[in-house]
Amino acid sequence: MILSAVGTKLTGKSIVDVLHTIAENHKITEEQQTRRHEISAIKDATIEAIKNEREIIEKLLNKEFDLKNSKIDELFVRLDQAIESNNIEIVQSVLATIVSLAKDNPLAKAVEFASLAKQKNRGRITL
Amino acid sequence: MLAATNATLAWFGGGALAAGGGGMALGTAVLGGIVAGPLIAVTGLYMDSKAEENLTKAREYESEVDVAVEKMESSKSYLGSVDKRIAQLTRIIKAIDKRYIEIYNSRNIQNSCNMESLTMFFIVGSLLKQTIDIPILDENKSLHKEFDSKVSMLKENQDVKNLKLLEGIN
Repeated sequence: MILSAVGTKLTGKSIVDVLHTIAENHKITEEQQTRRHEISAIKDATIEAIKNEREIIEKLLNKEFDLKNSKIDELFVRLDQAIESNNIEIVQSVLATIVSLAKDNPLAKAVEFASLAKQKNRGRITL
Repeated sequence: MLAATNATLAWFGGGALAAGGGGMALGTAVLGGIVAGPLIAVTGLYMDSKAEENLTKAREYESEVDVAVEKMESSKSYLGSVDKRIAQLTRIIKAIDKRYIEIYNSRNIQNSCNMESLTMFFIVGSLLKQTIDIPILDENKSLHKEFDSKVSMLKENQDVKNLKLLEGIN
């Protein structure tokens, strides 16, 4: 009789404990699933932002390089003509333009753009 | 008292052996199951919760790695642009240098007293020097510094990993 009572008491308490643990487990599972969805969404958004930024910078830089190269080619044609005609003033002016174009670094524009993009995204995407 | 205990155990076993039940042995096993079953269930659920939390942590780490990989792709792309910039400057330097040598040879600069030729040679030479002096990266120090810090951070991480590896070996 005593064992039976102990068994019944134990069983009753254990069932309550199990039910409580099931509820707790269910709650934790849901919370963790939600957090994992959040993590995945933030990751996708962050990667998308990085990709977009990179693509824009690549396009910007390619355009800049192409434009500058064609300008420089034109200037060298003019430089050759000036050398041929012994026109020192034009030689000096064309060469100065070439050097100034060479000094103007397209990467600086990319940096400017990247920092603007970072400012825009700051606080919006964080893992 | 002993009789009552035995009877209870036999009751858990579905009755005495003589009556067609499982007897005390089965009763003891059933009672053990009643006590151990919930304990196993609770432990299992606790482990399941912990596994859920660990899975979340793993996903978090996975995301950080994915984002870091994407950032590395951007760094790679940036290095590609630096490469283009180097190619551009090299092209300009070579083109000016070619004209500089042409002027030197065609106008016999070494023996020339012609002021026009000497001036032109000097102008082309000085602008060639200016082009050679153009820095490739330092105009965007911010990115340069950021890049440097990233490289040194990666290096430090690698050093720490190597150190741990060595500690593991020793």
